[in-house]
Amino acid sequence: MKERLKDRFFMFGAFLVLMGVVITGQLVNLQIVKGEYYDTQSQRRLLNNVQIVAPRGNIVDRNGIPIAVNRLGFVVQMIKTKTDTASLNEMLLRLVNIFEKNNDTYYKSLSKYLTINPFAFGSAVNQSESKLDKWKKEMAVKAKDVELMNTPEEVFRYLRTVKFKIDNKYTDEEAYKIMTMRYETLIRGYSSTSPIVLASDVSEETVAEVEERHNEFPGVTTDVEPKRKYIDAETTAHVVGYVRGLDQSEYERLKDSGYEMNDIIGKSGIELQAEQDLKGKDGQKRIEVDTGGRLTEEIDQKPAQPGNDVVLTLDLKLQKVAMDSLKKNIEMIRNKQGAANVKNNMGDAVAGSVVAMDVNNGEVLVLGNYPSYDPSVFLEGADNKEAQKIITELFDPNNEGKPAFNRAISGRYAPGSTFKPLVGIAGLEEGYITPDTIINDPGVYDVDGMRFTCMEYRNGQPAHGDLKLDRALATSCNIYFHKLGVMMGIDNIDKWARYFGLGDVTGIDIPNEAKGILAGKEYKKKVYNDEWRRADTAQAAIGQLYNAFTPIEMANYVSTLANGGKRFKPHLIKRVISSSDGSVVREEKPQYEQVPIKKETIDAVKKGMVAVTNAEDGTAVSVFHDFPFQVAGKTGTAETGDIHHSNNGVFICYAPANDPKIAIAVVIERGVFGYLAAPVAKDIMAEYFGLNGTGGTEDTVKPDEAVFTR
Amino acid sequence: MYSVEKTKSYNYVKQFDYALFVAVLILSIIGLFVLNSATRVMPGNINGDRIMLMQSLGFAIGVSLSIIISTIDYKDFKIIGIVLYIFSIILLVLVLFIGTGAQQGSQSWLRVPLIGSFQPSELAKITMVVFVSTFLERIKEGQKNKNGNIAKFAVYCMLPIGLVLLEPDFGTAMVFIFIIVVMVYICGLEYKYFWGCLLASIPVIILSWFFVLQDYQKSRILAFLAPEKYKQGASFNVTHSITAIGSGQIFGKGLYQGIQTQNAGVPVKESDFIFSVIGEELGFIGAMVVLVLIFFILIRCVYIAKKARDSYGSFLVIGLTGMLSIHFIENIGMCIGILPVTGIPLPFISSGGSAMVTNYIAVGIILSVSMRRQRTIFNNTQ
Repeated sequence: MKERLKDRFFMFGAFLVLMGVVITGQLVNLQIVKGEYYDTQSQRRLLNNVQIVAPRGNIVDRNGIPIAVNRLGFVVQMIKTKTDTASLNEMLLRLVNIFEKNNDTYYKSLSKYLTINPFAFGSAVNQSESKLDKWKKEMAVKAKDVELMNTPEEVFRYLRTVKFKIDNKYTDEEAYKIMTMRYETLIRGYSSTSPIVLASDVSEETVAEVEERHNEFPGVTTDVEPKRKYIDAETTAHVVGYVRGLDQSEYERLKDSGYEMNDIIGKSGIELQAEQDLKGKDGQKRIEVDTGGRLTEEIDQKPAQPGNDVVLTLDLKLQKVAMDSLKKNIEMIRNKQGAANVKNNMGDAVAGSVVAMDVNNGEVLVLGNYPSYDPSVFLEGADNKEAQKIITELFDPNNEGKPAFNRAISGRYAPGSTFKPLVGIAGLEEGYITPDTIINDPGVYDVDGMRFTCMEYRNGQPAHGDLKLDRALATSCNIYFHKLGVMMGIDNIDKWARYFGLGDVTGIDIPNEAKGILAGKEYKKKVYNDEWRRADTAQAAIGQLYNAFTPIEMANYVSTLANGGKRFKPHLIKRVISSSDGSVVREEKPQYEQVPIKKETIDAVKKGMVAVTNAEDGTAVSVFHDFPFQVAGKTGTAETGDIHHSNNGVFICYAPANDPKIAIAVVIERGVFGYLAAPVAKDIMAEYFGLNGTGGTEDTVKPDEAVFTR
Repeated sequence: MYSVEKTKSYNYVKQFDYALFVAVLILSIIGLFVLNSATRVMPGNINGDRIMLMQSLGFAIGVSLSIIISTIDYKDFKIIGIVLYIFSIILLVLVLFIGTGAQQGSQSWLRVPLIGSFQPSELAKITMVVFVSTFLERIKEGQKNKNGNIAKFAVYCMLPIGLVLLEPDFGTAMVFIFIIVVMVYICGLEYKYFWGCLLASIPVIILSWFFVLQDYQKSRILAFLAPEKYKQGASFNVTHSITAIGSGQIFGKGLYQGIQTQNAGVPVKESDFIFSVIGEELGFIGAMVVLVLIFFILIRCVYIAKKARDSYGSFLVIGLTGMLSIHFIENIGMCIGILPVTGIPLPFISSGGSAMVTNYIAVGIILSVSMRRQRTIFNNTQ
């Protein structure tokens, strides 16, 4: 024995054997002594990775009032368990029946490929043979099985019997329901480690039923997930925009940037503009579940990072007033009631747009259009027929209202007489007139063989006669501006129009802004390949001809005029704040360009614009005669060249005239007269200055005493 | 510089060590089935089929290589060994610069076209054994300049260990140290030196705890010492591994039937924790079959080392045996919760084509020594 102990090979071998004995001992301990205990543990200790969907950031107005938020929606999800195909099919049918009983929608990707009653190929493949072939190949269990799948019905039979092995006892409808669910498991990476979502945003009844009968639904569990919710949806639709679920191509493109198949993405408005801020970062948790997929223990989690909140410059209270007023006034004009009961009104007013800005920093306080829409419809599933019908109508070119169209930034309207202050500015700045220069309006004006007639003169009233700039603006005398325009030429007008940002995008921070059209030599040459004539200048000088600007351009123009020549970049995002601790992630600083305009010029034009709303014969005095603040405004009645419809009504203004705070532009399509659009601006200002007894937005502003004496 | 005395004539077919070879083959084939079961359900987008393909390829190449190597007279390794040693040192240096895997803890992988990626340290274990055995032989046989040979032995051992520590891969460094300890022990180093080393290592361990070890390494050790306390973190894998193994009970759940295995319950079940698949699906009986095979192989190797024709062959085999044994024992030990977690795979079973090939190279060398060993029977021509 002693010899052996000296044999180091023997000693090493003995060491190894000892190790083997220790290992065996532990195995006996684990597998035999405690085997049953670990067996029960094992049944309820299955590791699962669960995605935690990050809530999208909130969108709130300037005072923190929520506009777009998240609510909790229930989802029904499933993990793979050890069940045979027959009981899986049976269970899925029971599940679909619960969904349908409670009117819940569930994912139906299959319907894009194949439908029954009658049998047909769906939208994803029925346009393209190659796509259809590709899909059939994916579905075929064996490559040559594609030959068995010619007609839609044959495909259905093949999927039913070969692919999904659905029992004959089911009807075709039942089989199709089962197939729909099985198809989801196929395309969404069905596994035992991470659940797939079968139905999103289901009712409480469904959740209760699934939870109650969970023994019948092995692997099926419920969870909650944040869902987008819009408050006062229609009021802010064109600012906030909407979100939609990713489609297949978007998902392919974005899956590496942290998007999941069920994710939503901003498609318009702030939702699109601030997508990067609003989208959070999904988290993940590791949980242990039992063999039926039920949670037994949460191990750890990487919490989701909610998206950042976006604070808008918009004032929701003001926005509501504006939208209500716009709707009310358009309806009134359409129904030819009250002040709208004038001739030339064909009762066809359909739509309008309004923008209000803070003149001192370019913040957009109001931006809206009538008609509007409810962006929530885009959150509905593809199988919600009602929602799909509404969406189709929204984009229907025959729908005159075009609710999805964001007129305020994409609609281009001839400014009509609201262009006249700009022509006055050009005349003063270029030295063609002074505030006291007199131009005579004899009733008619001939140029290049064309005769322009003063509107009042045409209606049998006397012509305006001798006019200075302020009176010309107050009465909106066309002849004065025809003459002034021709006197200085179109290039001088356009030079000043460009200073005020007309005919260009303002750079507002929501997508799809249209660029206005500025009538000028360049444009005529390019589009009509024709030389510019003096008669063109005469028309352009009253805001007609090719001139067409977006409401946001008009609002920015009047805002620049109000604040003494600072052309701000209008913006809707005030700041972005972290939703977790409220710290400021980004603050939008006002940006502006200074227009080289003299104070005297601004004062001269202001005098005319104040007269519009105050002088006895001012074009908008009927609206503003009892308004306690002095408003500088200008009406515009724009001809659209369409004699079958009423003229457009345009109104721009700022107030208070001596200490401007707010600038507004209102456009009403087929609104007949400019002054008919003015009540919308008046309602906004009344709310803004706190005249509605609600305290107002700016309590520092005091009513202008001088006006009360009038 | 080295004189190589060739073994005289021998009968390849007759003297081939079938017992060892067949045991390794059976173990590998069991391993393939177990791996196939482990990779059926994989988390994330890991492709189980690809793992199986690489493993089968590694198996085929490994078996062929081991047979080829067994025909080479191991004494030739005295010369080839220098080249291989230098080659693997170059690779170990290279991996520090262009290696991958840094985000998993150690930059120990080299990307190679066609093969995919492999760990130079796997190769270095073998080449170190092959190379330093020559010095141990000289020391053992009392050649002159003993101290010089001891110094060379020490330096050539330190070099790969140092490089592996730079990656840093402490688990592999431990394997190197274990191999050297076994070789030195067999060489006959007196026990008092071992006790001395053990004593000296205490301050080293304390110092490295505070200055060298990364947090994840500390937590692994803490988790091993107090698994309940560290349930959420480091011992999570072990807890699941133990649960899976225990649930297998005597007869196992059956191949492809394990609840934990087939539901990706045990993390890295295809590699570090593959023994949990054996325990769960094949049960105590299956695990014992695997254990008996493993320890048959190890004891057989020790026997071959003892009976080797010369000390060089003896050291060669005992070094490689040390390498295999520490892999087997540490891997199984951590899966059943009696040793702390390191990223050391189970030879012939854990996924990894290049590991499979290197293990078979070791087997080939051992076979070569075995075929040329002293026989007790009379046909010994020596």
